Amino acid sequence: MTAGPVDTVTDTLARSLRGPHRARREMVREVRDGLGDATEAYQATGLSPAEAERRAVADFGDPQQVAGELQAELTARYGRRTAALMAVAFPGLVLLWDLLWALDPTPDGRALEPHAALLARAVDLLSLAAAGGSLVVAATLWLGARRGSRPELVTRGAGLLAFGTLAAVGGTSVLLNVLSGADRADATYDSPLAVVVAATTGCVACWLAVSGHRCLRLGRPRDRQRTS
Amino acid sequence: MNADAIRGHLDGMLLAVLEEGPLHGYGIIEALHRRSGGTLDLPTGTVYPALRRLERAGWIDGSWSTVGGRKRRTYTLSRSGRGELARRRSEWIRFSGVVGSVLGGAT
Repeated sequence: MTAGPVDTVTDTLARSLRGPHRARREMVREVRDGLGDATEAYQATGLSPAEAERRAVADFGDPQQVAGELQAELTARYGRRTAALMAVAFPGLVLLWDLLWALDPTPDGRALEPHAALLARAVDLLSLAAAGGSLVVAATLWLGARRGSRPELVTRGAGLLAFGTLAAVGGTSVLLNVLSGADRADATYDSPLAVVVAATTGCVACWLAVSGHRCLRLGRPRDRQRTS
Repeated sequence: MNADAIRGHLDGMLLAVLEEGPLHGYGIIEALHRRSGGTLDLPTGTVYPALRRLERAGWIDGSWSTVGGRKRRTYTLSRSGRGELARRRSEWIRFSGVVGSVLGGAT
């Protein structure tokens, strides 16, 4: 059985769109519903089903162009989602580690060295700065929708912010552990609570890395998206 | 009417047709066609991404609901959308008045 004109349009959209699966599916479904309604309306004027479908698709315009415009919305949506994740995750991890230190401040009975305390403070500040940056990303995407500007660059910025913060916070944390010495590091991760906090941090970092990577991919210029 | 000329005013026109009440995608296209007296020659496919962008801007709210026994994505004008529509309307009245008075010819 050959695909009708409506199927050809919706297949083109489904093949072209990248981004969150559910949002993509909903967009294609909405277009299919609209084309179905348009076909019915033409049929009601006395056209044959085939001719009605052909007219509905002709009115629709170039599916590739519509796919490009829908893709911009998916890209913005993913950028906003990643920004929301960063706004919650980075301060959340700071709170989680602060809670751990509050419950068990000096696992081996020694206070943090001044340079270690400075690095710990730097991790907190980097995380909070990233959360602030992610709010700027979300606000820029919102304003961009009102002004009709493309969201690719901002979404790419969200990806860079995620990766930059993960690298900076991760690197500073590793340095903190190294400078604190192996005995302190062993004592720190001795308690089950610390292992849970470390595992949670790892999972959230992976989630942020995946989201950041998708933002970078979706935020690529459109001509490069088509050729890849 | 030329599609490029319309495109710059599409957002305002979409907000205007939703002022009448909630509508789904094809209902909006039909309302645009009806209110323009059938003279709007806009590719209907451009309406769907525009609706998503207006939703992202917070001017309309979209949700799936049952219309005539079928599930359809329906859009409603939000409070800030009403404000934006009023702003665009008054801007248009001012703009068309100025252009009209110049293009109308010498009196």
